[in-house]
Amino acid sequence: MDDVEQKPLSPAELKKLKKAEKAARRKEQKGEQGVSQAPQQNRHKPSNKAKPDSTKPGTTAHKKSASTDTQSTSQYALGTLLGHLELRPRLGAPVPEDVNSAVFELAVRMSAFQVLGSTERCRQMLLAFQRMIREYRTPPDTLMARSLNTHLGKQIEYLKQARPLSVSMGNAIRWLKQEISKCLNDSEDVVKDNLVNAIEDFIRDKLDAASQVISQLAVPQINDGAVIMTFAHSSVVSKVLRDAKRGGKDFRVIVVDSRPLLEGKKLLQELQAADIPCSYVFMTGLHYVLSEVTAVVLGAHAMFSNGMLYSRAGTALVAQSATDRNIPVLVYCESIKFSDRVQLDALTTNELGRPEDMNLQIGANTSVKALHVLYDLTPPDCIRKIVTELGNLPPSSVPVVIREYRNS
Amino acid sequence: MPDVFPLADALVSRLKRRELHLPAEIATATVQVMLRFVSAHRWSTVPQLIADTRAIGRLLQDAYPTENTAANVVRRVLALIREEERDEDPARNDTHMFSLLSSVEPAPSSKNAQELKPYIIQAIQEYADEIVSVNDSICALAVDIVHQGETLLTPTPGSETLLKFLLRAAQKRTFTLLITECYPNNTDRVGRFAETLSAAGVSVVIVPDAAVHTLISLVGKVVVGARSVMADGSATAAAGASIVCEAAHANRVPVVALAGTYKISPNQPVDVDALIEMGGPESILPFSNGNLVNSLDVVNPLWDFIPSKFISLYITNLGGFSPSFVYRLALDSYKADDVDL
Repeated sequence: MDDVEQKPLSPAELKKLKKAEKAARRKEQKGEQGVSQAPQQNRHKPSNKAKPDSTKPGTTAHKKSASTDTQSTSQYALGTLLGHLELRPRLGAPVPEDVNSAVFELAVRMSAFQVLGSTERCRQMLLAFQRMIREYRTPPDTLMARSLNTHLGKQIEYLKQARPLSVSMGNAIRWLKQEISKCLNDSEDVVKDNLVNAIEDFIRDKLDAASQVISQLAVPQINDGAVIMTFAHSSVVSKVLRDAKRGGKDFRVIVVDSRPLLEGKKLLQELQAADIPCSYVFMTGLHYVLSEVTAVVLGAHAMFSNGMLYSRAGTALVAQSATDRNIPVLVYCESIKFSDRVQLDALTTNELGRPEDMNLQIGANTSVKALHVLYDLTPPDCIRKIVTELGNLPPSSVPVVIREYRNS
Repeated sequence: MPDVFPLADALVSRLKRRELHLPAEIATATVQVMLRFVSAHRWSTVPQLIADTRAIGRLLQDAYPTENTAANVVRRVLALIREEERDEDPARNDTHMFSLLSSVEPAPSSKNAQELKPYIIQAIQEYADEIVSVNDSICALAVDIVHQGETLLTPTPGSETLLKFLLRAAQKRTFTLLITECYPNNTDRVGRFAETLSAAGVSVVIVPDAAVHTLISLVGKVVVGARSVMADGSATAAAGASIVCEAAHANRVPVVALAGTYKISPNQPVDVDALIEMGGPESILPFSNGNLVNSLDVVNPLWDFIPSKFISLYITNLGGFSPSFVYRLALDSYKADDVDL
């Protein structure tokens, strides 16, 4: 360790150091002039000044001051590894101008990962928009529909600050904008009535009825004596399993879960309330319990046009392990989650969770980083079939559904 | 025979209490017991010594049934005793073709077996030295495995051998190491492992266990500290290792497993579940989740079974070997008579 510290610096390292030094100096000057950045700067200044006394002169002191500066933005900054994925800060008060209070509340809850799941997020967003539309007052001398469109854009932008929109949310927004454009020439009351009713119908048709139909299709596929494995939490999976139990099926469920979100606990609670016998295992114990499993059922965040299933990180591991052992893997997915996007690996587009949620037992002065990606991508050859409200489909039929759906 | 037990008693109870759980500690402790036993025990013939040694081996094995190291060390010591006996008695070495069909058993050595004692002790002493230097020999191969700028992934941050291996690699190479969280067992070790390597200049990133499939395409090699190795080339390691190795296998990412030779067992894995020890449920679902815990089956395996097809290479203190060669290593170290103690 010692000889690493005392090793002479390479030109590249020297350059980097000088850059960091310059940036730090510039920041300090700014801090003295500007008032707004004062709190952050002040916190670090005393420690910076105190440091040179205790540490060796020269390089190490500079190194440390540079590192504390980056730590103030994120203790776990990742640098080059997946640097294209950004980490969004937690939202909080005050309510920004032009943002409806219902939308604000939803954004804050999403930002804290309290509203989870593609379906639930879509539903909550539509309900918030419904309230926003009810409370909307058209500025004088403008058409309701036109100004509403811009206002809606601001709400969406704010929701995006909390977390990237889910595919279901994106599809719902596209539909809503279409609906708004249909009533360009109507009066305020008519537009409001139309849209509020349309949103209600949309939630009923695309979310509630869809999951009902999926359940009707999926329940007969569950055999008595089945041992069903599922991962994390999916509202459709939960509904299907509870409906199957209510229909008198006798089966057992193994819930696989993973830190840090621990969504499986929520599913456990729902299944236990329905008196379904359950086992609970973490990702690390997956292979141990896999031998008794007769079917794997999974929820989806999105189905991509190339047949890939985009879902909570860990889904692909479960699907792949099951497929390797010839255990059928079924995906329950409403067609609102179908996307025309294509993706080959889960790295190009993904979402980062907050690494501090991982509760790692590492010291404060270490450069150990943590990476928490939220999604992974299951290849189509690991999926036996997709159960949607349009019927049982192979993964290759996703683009077909998208085309038909768009045309209708 | 009862007087052989007091020597092993202390070790047996430490194994039963799981005070010793690192294979390296168990190997060192066992070989020391063997040394003391052969020197202090009163034995008059080699067959008697062998029988008593096997008795100790059985005791140690029963004390910690899912851990093979103690039994493997005893098997190796038995092989050393048998070799010394054979060297002493050239008649037994006589295996030319005329004697193949003869059914006459060679008579037991007429010489005083006590004359063998110093040779046996010396052989065991040499074996003890070999056990101590296992990590050094494995680490010597580190630069052959890790290349500059590589990204490695490990699902077994609890392994001491792996830590030393990566520290050695870090002396010569700059690389990135992804570590799975290995939740819920031994999470404190993950932090220590990460901090030690980070201090040595490795850029260390801890990832959740579920993120492996997303990240595996970034990874050049998966490195695993094996806990025990079966004759068919399969291994057991910390829970979660198998799923990582499977993902690596599916993506054609090589998996390198590290194991000292004392971890190689001559047995085939027949009942895989019997190789795996279970942990308590409270680390998965704390008892504070009252109503949930009551009616739930919580499964917490401590170890994982990795089939040999998921492993590309074993690095042992004798060098690197393909998994299909492991049975040969087992045949070299142990005598067929001692496979079942």
